[in-house]
Amino acid sequence: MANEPTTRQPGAAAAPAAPAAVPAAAPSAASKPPSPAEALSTAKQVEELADKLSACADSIHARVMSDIRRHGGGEVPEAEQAAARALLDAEIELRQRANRLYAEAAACIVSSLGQSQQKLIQLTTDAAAKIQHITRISDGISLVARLLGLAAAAATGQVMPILAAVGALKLQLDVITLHNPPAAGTSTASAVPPAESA
Amino acid sequence: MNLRRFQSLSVLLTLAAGLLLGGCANTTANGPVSLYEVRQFADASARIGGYGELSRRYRDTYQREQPYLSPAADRIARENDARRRAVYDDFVSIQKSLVLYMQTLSLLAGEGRYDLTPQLDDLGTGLKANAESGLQQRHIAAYTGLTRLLTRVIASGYQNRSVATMVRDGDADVQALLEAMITLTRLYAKTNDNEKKTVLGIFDVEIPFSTKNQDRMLVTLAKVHYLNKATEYKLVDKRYDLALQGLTKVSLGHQRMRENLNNLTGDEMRKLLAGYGRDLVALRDALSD
Repeated sequence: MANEPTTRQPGAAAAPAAPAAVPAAAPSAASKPPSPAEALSTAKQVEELADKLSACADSIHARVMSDIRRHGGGEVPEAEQAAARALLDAEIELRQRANRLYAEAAACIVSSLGQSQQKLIQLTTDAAAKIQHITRISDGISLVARLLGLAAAAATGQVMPILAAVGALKLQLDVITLHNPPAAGTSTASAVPPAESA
Repeated sequence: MNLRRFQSLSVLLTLAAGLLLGGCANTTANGPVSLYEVRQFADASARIGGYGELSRRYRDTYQREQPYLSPAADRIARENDARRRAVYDDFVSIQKSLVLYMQTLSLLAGEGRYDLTPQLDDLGTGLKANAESGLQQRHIAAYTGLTRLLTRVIASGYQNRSVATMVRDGDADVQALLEAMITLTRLYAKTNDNEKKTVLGIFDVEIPFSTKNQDRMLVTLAKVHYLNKATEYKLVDKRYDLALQGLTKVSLGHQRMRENLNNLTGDEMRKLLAGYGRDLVALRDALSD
């Protein structure tokens, strides 16, 4: 591909202990078939989570693009380039995780996330909104790292890793709120504009 | 003497009436005209476009996106690839069973009686129903149910079968399988969306960063590539939508038939089915462009 020595940092810099390996033989509910209502709601939940993660990826992309556009076509300093590339890598990885969940939705292997589903959805929605507006890029990178951790945990379908990841994400969101005291009108956590691509 | 003749005459008449009525109710030899729209609809449903091609596209996602992935993303993508490939056959089998069902329905609604046993054999022994098969239990059950129905009908040479009984017996399984196909098509579309954003995303970022003079050729190549890819994805996006529309129409048409078993030949039903049939043909044409 390109000759330029792109410093592609693999995914998130401060990667949490995200289980990259996937349990080969999923200890799923293969024994007892879920009732039609259960099975459908489970698949829908998994798809919904994948949708939210994709939306986060869209947010990351929009954020990176708005940072780039601030330079109005001129030179972008090396440090900023590195940060942008790190976020781009994270975005791409997040999309792969989301695709994994779409495959899971088809397979319905991931057991229902149950009560934490709603909280999870809310958190990821919150994260998508925050990514757009945070002022410190380092906060952004940490937040994205937590999101990746959550996505990885979700794919395992196991409660403990998911709860841990949710906790870490919530913590990071609180930190960001501290660094970004709400000014007038920042509490509009409305729909994130999709990434522009001609 | 008179009584006996009268009796034998009435027996004859009853026999004749029975044959006539029996012929009509069987809808096999007589009355194909009134089930023409059913046949049209079934034919169009059997030839529905999009799902097969989009299933293949879903299976081959990794091939297309691989050049654009970082090492970390590539690791995850490889796992995804293995999963997609493992379940592809099952996704295709569902469609095969539905196609065969529609072909059988079409035969029942018409005059021909050619042998569909080869297609039945092609369905195989069943889905790879294990934890990784990629289908929910109820879809597997629906597939099994439908293939059993088809085996009974086809192997018996369509005896004692009418369109009405076929629709009545097959509707639940048909609807479950169609729902599976609709869900899968939707998941295909979302996966494709992530693929598109992965492929195009890199250029969004790297082109603005390549401002030196020696980057000019590279940037030009990148911009041309970007445009080609963007156009490609725009065209593909439409196909998911068309495929979903088609599947929905098949589901609706069959549902209406189920609700109107005793009135399949009524004017309203015929108009409705004719409309669905035309829509399906139009969708198929749009997809074959």
